[in-house]
Amino acid sequence: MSFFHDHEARISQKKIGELNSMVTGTPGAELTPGVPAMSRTQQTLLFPTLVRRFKQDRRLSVLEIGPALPETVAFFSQFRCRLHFAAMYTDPVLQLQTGEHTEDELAEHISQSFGFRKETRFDLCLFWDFLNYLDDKALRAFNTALRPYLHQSTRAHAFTVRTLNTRFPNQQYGIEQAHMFSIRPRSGKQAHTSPHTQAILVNLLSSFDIDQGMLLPDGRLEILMTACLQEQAAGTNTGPK
Amino acid sequence: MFEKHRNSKQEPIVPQTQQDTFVTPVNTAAGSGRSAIIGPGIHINGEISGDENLLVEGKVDGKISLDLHQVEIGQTGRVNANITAKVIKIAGEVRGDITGTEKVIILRSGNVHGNIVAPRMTLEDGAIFKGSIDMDPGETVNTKSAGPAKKVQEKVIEKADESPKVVTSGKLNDSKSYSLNGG
Repeated sequence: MSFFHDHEARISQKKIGELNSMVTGTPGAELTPGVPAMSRTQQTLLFPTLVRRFKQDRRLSVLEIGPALPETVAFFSQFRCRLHFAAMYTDPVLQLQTGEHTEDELAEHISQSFGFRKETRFDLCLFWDFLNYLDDKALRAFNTALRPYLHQSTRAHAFTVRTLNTRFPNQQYGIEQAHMFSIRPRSGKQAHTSPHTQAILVNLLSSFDIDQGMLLPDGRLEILMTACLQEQAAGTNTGPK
Repeated sequence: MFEKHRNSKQEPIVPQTQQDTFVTPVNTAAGSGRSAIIGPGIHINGEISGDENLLVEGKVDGKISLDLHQVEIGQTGRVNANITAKVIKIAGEVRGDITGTEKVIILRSGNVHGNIVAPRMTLEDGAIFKGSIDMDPGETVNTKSAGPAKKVQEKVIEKADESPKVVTSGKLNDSKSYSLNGG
């Protein structure tokens, strides 16, 4: 047993060391008021595996849950794609979730906020750290609202946590290159965070299974997910209303 | 409605008929060399089409179709309309679907809520966008129109500080006739 713990610890330390050398810029710079928006970049080892799967012969459908950033638009402009920006970090759902609203009401609100066409099916969802801003009820509602727009091969990228005391700085993400994200401070007050560990996350976000995870230096986990739609295949979910 | 233009000594010399309209054609270096301006005090409700570039500094509700030309939404521009043009530059607010047959540019002061179709898309730092972008670097966007539209139609024209007023007709210049239908 201790062998596994030691072995695991050695691997984690190694990964942390590798990733520490990959993060550029000044750590914590995004928390300093007045710091220029484009302050950091962060290398990613997992995202390139998604990019390699992009097929040139068909139009890619991408959901970016955050705001539209120039580098993300520029990155996807090299592909035939439809890029959806949901701008959910500024959506009222982050405030509504603390009220008396039921899960169904939240799901309805999120679905209306999405405003996707009925036929929309995403190949790739970029959640970044958004899932950690939703409490359990809101995350289940988010799962319900998003599910009709997924297909069996939908992949997703997100950040979650290994331990619940991990902090999420008030920052937003873009894609500089396949192996490099941009990190910018987000303007405005940070919403309340509700971090989820992997085990909790897969229970609440039941439309996805976690494929791969990578521990980051600050305690976050970068994860790749694949849609898990058995119930929908069985006919319990027939698509968007 | 536009008395202050007549009284201004610094007003450029233009044909009398032009001063009776809400748009002012000006020479620009870009595009085909001519551009119409919808000023910040103007509110148009209806469909705009034509054969020259357009700068919107006022409000437009309805539809803008200038398939072979450039449409620019200035910083004070507020557009609640679908826009089709060759090149579309947005520095103001737009609510509606946007089709740029060549390029769409959202400047840093731009705020867009809608779906964009364009072979090339530029989003400046600070711009706000919610919606979808259809991008295909290998092809240009086809629109339904086979050629330049010749007509500009507006239904309701009003100054922001005045009650709605219908303008029945007016000419922009010698070669183009603007038919303004009351609504």
